[in-house]
Amino acid sequence: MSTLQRILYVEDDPDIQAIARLALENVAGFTVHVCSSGEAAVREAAAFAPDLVLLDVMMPGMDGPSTLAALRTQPLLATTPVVFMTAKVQPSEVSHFRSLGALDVIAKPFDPMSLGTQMRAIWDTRPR
Amino acid sequence: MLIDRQTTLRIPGMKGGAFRIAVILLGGFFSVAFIALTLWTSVTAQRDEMVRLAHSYSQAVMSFRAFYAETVVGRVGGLVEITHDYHENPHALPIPATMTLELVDYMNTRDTSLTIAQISDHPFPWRADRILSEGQSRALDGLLRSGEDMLTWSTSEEDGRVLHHAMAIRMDATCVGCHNSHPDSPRRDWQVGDLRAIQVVSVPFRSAGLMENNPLRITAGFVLLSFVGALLALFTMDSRVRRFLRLARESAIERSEAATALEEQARDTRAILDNVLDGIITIDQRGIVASFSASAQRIFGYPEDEVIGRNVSMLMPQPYRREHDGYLARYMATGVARVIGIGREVTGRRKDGTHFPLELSISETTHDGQPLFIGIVRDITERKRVEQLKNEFVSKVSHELRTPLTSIAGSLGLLAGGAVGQLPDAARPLVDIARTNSNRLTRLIDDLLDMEKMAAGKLAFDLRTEPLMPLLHQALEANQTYAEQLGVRFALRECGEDVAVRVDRWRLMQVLSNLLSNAAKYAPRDSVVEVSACVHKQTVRVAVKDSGPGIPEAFHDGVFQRFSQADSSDSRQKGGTGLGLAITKELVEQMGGRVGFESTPGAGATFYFDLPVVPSSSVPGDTSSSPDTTHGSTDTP
Repeated sequence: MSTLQRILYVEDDPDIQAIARLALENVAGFTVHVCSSGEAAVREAAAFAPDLVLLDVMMPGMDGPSTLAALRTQPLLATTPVVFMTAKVQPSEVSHFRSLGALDVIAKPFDPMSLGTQMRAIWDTRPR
Repeated sequence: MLIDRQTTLRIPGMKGGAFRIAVILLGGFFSVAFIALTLWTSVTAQRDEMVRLAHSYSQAVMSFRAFYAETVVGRVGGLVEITHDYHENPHALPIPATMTLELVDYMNTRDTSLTIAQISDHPFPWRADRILSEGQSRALDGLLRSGEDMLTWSTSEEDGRVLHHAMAIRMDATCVGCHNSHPDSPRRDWQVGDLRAIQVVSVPFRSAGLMENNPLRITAGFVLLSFVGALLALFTMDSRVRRFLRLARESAIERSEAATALEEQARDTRAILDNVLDGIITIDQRGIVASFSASAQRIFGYPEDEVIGRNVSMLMPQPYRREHDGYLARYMATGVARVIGIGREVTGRRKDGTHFPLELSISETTHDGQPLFIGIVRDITERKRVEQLKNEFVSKVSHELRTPLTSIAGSLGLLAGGAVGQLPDAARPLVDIARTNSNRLTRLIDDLLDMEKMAAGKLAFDLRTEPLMPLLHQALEANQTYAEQLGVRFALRECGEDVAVRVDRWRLMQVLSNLLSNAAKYAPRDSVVEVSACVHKQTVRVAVKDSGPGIPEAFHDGVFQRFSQADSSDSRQKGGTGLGLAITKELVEQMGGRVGFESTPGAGATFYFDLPVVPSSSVPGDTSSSPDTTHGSTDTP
C-alpha cells in the first residue's frame, strides 16, 4: 500500500475531534475513523484496519503511549505507523515519543489547512 | 619592704594610710629589737670578760698564797718563827693568812680599779672585829652550803654597779696540821677540803664603756640608718609602687575581661554557625574534615565525632566518593577548580545511606599556612520537590490552555482557509483578527514554557555543526509572510564565505524568528530590514538592522529582561509577548554565543548575536546527519 487513505484518529476532546475530522476528511480527503478513548481505539482498530493511527498523548484512562503499546499487541496493527499529537513538543520529548515507536509528533495547536499535507509528508518517511 | 607591701596589699580592704602606719610600726619594732639584742649581747660579753678578769686576779692571789705556804713557810718553819704579829719580831715571818691579807691590802692600794678581800666564818682572834658586807656574808653562806667553788653577783653602789666574784679557799694537807695545832686557831678539827675562807674580787662596771664600744656603736648606727632609709624609700617610692601595682591589677582585670569577651564572642559565633540552616564543613588539603557544624550534623545525620578526622568523601555517594581524592589532589597541583568558588548542585549521602540533592559552595582560605576549604551545604530536597511541583503545574496549565486553543485556532484556520465555504467579506477581517490573536496566545504559552525550562536549566539542546547560510535563508523564508503583512521586506546582505556554526537548529530558528519578527514589527511600512552574517576572526556576527524608532537610552539596560518593552502599550500594539528577547539571549548563550544591540533613538536599531565559527577542517561532509548531540551543554570546540 503506497498511498495514505485510512486514518484512525484517537482524541478525547470533542471540539478538537470535530476540527481534525474536518481538516482530514473535508480538506485532505482521507477516510477517518474517530475514537474518543484509547480503550475504544484498541477495540475498534482491527475492524477499521487503518493505514495510519493519529494518537493524542494526554487522555483520561489509557493515554497515548499505553494505547500504542496495546495496539502493537494486535497482529493487524503490529507495524501500522503511529503519529502522536501533543502539546509537548520539546525536542527531547519528540525523541522520547519516537523511542516508544511513534513515527513522528504533531504539535498542538495544529494548522487544520495544512494538516493533511503534514500527514502525507510523515507517511512518506515511514520505513518500507 | 616591697615584699611586705605586696603581701599587705593582698589584704582586702586595707587602705593606703593604715598600710603605711603598719609598715612603720613593723620596721620600728624590728629596729628596736635588733638594737636591744645587740646591746644585750654586748653587756653579756662585758660581764663575762669581767668575771674572767676577777677570776684570774683571784687565782693569782691564791697561787701566791699556796706558793708561800709550801715553799717559804714549809722550808723556814723550823728556823724562823711564823706568827701573825711578825711586825713585833724582826726574825719572824707572817703566817700565810696574814701574808695574804697584807698582800691583798697592798694590791688594793696599788690598783684602785678593783678590790680584793678575804673573809672567813672562823677568823683569827685578831681579826674578829672585821666587818662583812651583806653580799659577802651571803656569798660565804652560799658557798658553805652549796660546796661550790665560785659565785658571782653584782651590787649597786654609790658610784655605779659593781661585779663581785667569790672563790672558795679550801684546806689542803699542808694547812690542816698547822691550823689544828696553832695556839690561836679558832678551830682545831680542820679537815682537808673544808672551806677556810672565801676570797672576793670586786670590779666596778664601767658605765661609759658600753658606748665607747666601737663595733656596737657602728651596729646601732647602721640599724638606725637602715630604718630611716627604708622609711624614706617607702615614702618616695610609695606613689610609684602603688601606681605600678594599680596598673598591674588593672591590666590583669583588662586581660581577664578581654579573655571573657573573646570567649563570649567565640560562643556567639559558634551559636550563629550552629543556627545557620546551611551546614558548614571545613576540610584540609587531604580532604580530612576539621569541623562539622550542627546543621551539617542534622543534614547528614552524622554526629560530629563520627566525621571529624575522617575523609569528607564519606558524605558522598559513589562514584563521587571514589573520585574526590583525585579531584582534590588535582586541584592542589593544578589550581583547576570544579566547585571551589563556583558552587553547584551535587548529591549527598546521609548516614542511613539515602541520597539527597545538595547545593554545595566551597571557598578556600588558609589556616596556619595550610589550605583550608570551607564547604557550605544546603539540603535542597524540598526546593527540588517544589520546583518539580511548579514544573508539573506549568506543564499541566499549558496543556489545559492548549486544548481549547487548539479548537479555537483550528476552527479559525478552517474558516479562514475556506474549508467550509467562502466567508462574507465583512467577516474575513474579524476571522483574521481572531486567528492572529490565537497565534499570539500560542506563542505566549510556548515562550512561557521555554522560559520556565530555561530557568530550571532543563532546556535540552541538540547541538550540531551546520553551515549558517541555509539556516538564515530558511528563517527569512519562514518569517517572510509575517513581514509582508506588515509591509516590510527582508534583505540578506552576504559578506564573505559561508561558515559553519555549532547550534541547535530548532533553537537557532527560534532566535532568528524573534529578531526578524521584532525588526519587522518596529520597522516603518515599506522599509527594508537588512540581515547580515559577517565573520570577524573566530566569530560570526548575525545582525538584523531595522530603521524603526530605535530604543530609548533609558531602556537600554532592560532590553533583554523578561516582560520588558520600551513602551508597555507596545505589547498590545506590536503583539509581542515581552519574552522574546530574554529567550533569545538565553538561547544564544546556551549555544556559546552572546547577544547585543546598537541603537540611535530615531534612527533604527541593530540586534545581533555572535557565534563561534567552527574551523572548516572539522566540518564533516554530511552536516545534516552529524550525530553529535549534547544536551544542555554550552561547550564549543
